[in-house]
Amino acid sequence: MQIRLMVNDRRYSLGVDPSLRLVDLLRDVLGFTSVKEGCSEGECGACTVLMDGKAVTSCTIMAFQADGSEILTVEGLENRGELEPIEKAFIENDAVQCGFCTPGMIMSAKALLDKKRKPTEEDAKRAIEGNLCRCTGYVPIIKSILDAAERMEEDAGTSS
Amino acid sequence: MRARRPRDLSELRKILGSGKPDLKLLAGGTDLVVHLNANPGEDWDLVDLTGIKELKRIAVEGPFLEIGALATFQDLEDSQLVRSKTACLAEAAAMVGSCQIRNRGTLGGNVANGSAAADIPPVLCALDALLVIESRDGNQRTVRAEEANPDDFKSLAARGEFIRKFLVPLEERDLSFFDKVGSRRAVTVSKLNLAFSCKLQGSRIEKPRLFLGALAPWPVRAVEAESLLTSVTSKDLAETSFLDALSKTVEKTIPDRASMPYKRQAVKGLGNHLWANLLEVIR
Repeated sequence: MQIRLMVNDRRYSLGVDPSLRLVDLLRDVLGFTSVKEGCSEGECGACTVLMDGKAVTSCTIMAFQADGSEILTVEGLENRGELEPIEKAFIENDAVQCGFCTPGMIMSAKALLDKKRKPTEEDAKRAIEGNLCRCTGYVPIIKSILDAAERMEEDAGTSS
Repeated sequence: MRARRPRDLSELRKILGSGKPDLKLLAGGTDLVVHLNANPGEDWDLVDLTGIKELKRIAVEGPFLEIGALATFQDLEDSQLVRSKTACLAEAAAMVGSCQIRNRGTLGGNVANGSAAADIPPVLCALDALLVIESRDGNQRTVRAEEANPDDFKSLAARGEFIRKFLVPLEERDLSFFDKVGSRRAVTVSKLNLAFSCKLQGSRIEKPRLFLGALAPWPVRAVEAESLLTSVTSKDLAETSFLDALSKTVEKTIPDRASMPYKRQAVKGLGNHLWANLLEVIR
């Protein structure tokens, strides 16, 4: 099937097999390896990307369903220069151990921060309820999201 | 595997009119894509509905709140209309899965997938909603949620049909309620759920509609508990007899199921939450 979509601000027009999932397209065809496949059931959130600005698990979406959409992964965040405050917050709050869940966590955090500039702890918890981490116990990740929100607010203040 | 992605209803009708007996409809994919990936040997002929904007409409139409079959759980949670007119539907939607699942999973998919543990069917039953099923020639038939048969959904596309929308009567409801019990607080599949709506006349409960989900293939109406609520004025209402009536419905519905001893207790927890909500408004 022929599909057209934007991935990380770049246009693609390509033929995909109907059985290909979005996670397979992003990782194996386009090489965006920040997108991890964990459970393959939409439970662990490691494959989370933004689709038209919304956090989705790319293992529960067929590639052809992404026709006409805009996809954003951690690589795209980095290219846009939007990764830094979240990345620093995750590093300084020790929110990364094995790192497998981190890209998915960051994309879920990004979806929240795009919607709410000053999230509460409850907001942060709810935003990552679909992302499993087996190392950190979540507390540092929740702190990082709140910290990232402050950093982004500061950056916005400095640049205005 | 074959797949098509119609852009509008007329394209969808054309595909459904092709007379292919193996056509299956794909919506948010949160269950079906997982199944497809786990069973690569299966041959599917898919029709993806997610590209059809007309199926996502949420609007008031005459005496109904009309909700398109492709409205996502997040759409329901975010919709001011859904929140103000049918609070328990917004609450149930907000309790489904995770953010990622709510952003993709749809109302129509939750119903048509036919899972006994689905959260939306009991809510639709409690709200006395209608399912509008459209055929390839544009004709529509309506089915009361309470009377729907989940087996009917399995062959929709093969019969040239699809769920177009849901109609929720806007008649004044004084209370609507949804709660569920699963193995954890969030991102959980219901082991049991309960949806309720009623009108209030002073301290009397009128027209109660109480449905239990994840008990049978389709939600079960808890008639005994309902009649208890209507038979007495609020000051005579006793919580224990109400909870016992709920337990009896569970025992009667699944007498031989291994989960019966658990569910007849679990239903009391849900009943207790509903009871607290009822007391808040009638006393």
